[in-house]
Amino acid sequence: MRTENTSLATPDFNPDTTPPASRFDHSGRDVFEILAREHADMLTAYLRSLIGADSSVDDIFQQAMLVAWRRLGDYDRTRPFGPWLRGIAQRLVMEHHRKGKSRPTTTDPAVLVELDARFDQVNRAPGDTFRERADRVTECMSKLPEAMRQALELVYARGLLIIAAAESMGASEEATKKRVQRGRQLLAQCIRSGEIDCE
Amino acid sequence: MNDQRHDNTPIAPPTEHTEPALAADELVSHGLLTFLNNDPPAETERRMRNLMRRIADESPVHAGVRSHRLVFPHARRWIALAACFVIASALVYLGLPTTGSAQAMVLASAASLREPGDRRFEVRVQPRGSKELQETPIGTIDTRGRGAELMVARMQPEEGVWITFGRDATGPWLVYPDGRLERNPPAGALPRLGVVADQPVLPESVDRVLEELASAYTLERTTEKGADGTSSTEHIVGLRRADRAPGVPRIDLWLDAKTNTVKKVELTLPDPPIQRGMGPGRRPDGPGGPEGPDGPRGDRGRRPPPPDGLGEGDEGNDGPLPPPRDGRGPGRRGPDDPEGRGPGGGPNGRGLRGGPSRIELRPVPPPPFPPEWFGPEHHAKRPPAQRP
Repeated sequence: MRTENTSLATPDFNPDTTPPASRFDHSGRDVFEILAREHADMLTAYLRSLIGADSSVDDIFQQAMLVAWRRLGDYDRTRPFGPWLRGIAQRLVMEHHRKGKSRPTTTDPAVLVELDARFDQVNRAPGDTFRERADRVTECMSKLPEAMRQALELVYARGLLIIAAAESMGASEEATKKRVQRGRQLLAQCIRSGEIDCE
Repeated sequence: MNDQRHDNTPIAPPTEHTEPALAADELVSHGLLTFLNNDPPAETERRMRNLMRRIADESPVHAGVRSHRLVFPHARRWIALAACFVIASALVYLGLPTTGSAQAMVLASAASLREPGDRRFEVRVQPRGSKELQETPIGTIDTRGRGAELMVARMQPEEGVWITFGRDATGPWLVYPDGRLERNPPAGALPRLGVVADQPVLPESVDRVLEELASAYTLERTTEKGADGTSSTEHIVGLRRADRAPGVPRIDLWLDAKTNTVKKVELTLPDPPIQRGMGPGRRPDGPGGPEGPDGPRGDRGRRPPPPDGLGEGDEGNDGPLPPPRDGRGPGRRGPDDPEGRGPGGGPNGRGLRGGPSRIELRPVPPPPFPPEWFGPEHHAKRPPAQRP
C-alpha cells in the first residue's frame, strides 16, 4: 500500500506568507509574468494529466501560480522553474482531492515521480514553446494503427464517452477502452523516441 | 492506485497498472491530448490575464501590510489567530453571514458558469435620470464552451445600430456597424456602457464579473425569502474595496439559494465627473458640431437625457460608439445612416448620453445558435438590417 506522500521536492507553501517587497515593483512582476507565461501551457497540460477535463483546472492553475508568485523568494534559480511549479500544482491537486473537490487520475507517489519525468522529457523535445512540443502528439497520432487513432480522436477530439465511441466504431466498450489505453502508451513512446513500436 | 473519475467524464481514466512507468506514459498522453483539445491559446491568455489581475490586486495590500508588520512573527500569528477567533465568534453569535461564505458562493457560481455549454445573458441598462431599467435589452452576451472560450456580444448603443464583438480561438474581434470586421481591435473601439476612473465598463463575460466581485469587493449576503416563505434567493452586495484599483463601485448579485446559479447581476455606476471646458460630448475632431471644444462649459455629465430620447448627434465622451474611422466625431452615425442622425436618437430613448447608472445582466435560455454563430465572419457578412 502506497502512501500519499510524494518524494518530489515541493515547497512548503503558506498562502499567508508575504513575499519580499522588492517583488512588488513592476520589474519583479514583469519577470514573474514572463516566467508564468512561459510555463502556463506546461502547467495546464500537467493539471490535465492529473484531473483531466475537470473544471477545477482553472482554480488550481491560478492557485499554483499565486503560490509560486508569493514564494518566488524560495525558488532556487539554479534549477529549472517547471519542476518547482509542478511540485506546487501537485500539492494543490492532492489538497483538493483531500477536500473532495477533485478526483485526480492518480495519487500514487511513484507514478507522480514518473509523470514529472515525462514532462521533463516533453520540455526537452525540440520546439520553441511547450505547445509546439506538445503538438508532437498530433504527429505521433498519425503513426498509430487506425483503430487506436480513431478511438483516441473520438474520445479526446470529439469528447465522446468510451461507450459512445465504442458504438460509433462498432466495437465493444472493453475493446475500445483497451485501444485508448494502448494508444496513449504508444503515444508516450513516440513522444520519447519519435517512433512507435506496435509489437 | 487510481481513483475512478466522474462517470460523466468523456475521457477514459487510465486504469490500474503494476508499472508506474506505464501509468505515467498513459497520463502524460492523456494530459497532452486533453490540453491540446481543450486549451487553445486564447484560454491560456484568459488564465494569464486573470492571474496578473489578481497579482496586481493583491500586491499593494501585501506591501502595505508589510510596512506595519510586527517584529515577532510568532506573536503576529497568535494575535492574528486570536483576532480571527474573536471575529468569527462574534459573527456566529450575531448570526451574520460572513464575507467568506458569500465569497465562496460567488466563486462557486463563477465556476458553474465555466462549465461547458451555451449561455446567453441579456443586457439592460438604466439611463441616467431614469428610475427604472429599460424593458428592452440593449444587447446580449452569448458564450460557449469551457471558460466562455467562445463569446459573441451584440450591443445596440442606439436604436438600429448594432456592434458585434467577440472572442474565438484566435483572439478578440469586432464587427463595426457598417459590417467591417477587425481582428484584435483596439480597446477604444469596443462599445462601452460607461466609464469608471477613465476605464471603460464592458461586462463581456459574467464569470469574470463574478471573479472580480469575489476578489476586489467587500461582500454582504442576505437571504431573500420567496413568496411562499421558503428561502429562495441569496442577494450578495459587493462594495469596491478601497485598497483596490478603482472600478465599478457596487455590484449586486442574486443567486439561486439551492443551486448557486446566477439569477441576475447588477452593476451600479457612479455619476460621471463634471468636466469643465468641454462641449456636451463632441469630440474635438468631430466635424460640424455646433458645440465643439469651445462649446458651453461644464454640462457634460449633468445634462439630463431628453425626454423623448432623441439626440442631437452628441454622444458625450462616455458615449458607447466606436471611435471614428473616417475622421468623423463619435457622435455621427456610420456611413450606413442615410439620415445622418446622431446617436442617442433612438425613438424609444435608448441613447446613453452620460452612460447608464445601472447595468443588468440576466441569464435567459440560449436559443439554438447557428453553427457559425461564434465566428466573426457570420456577423460581418450579414447586412446591418439583419444583424441583430
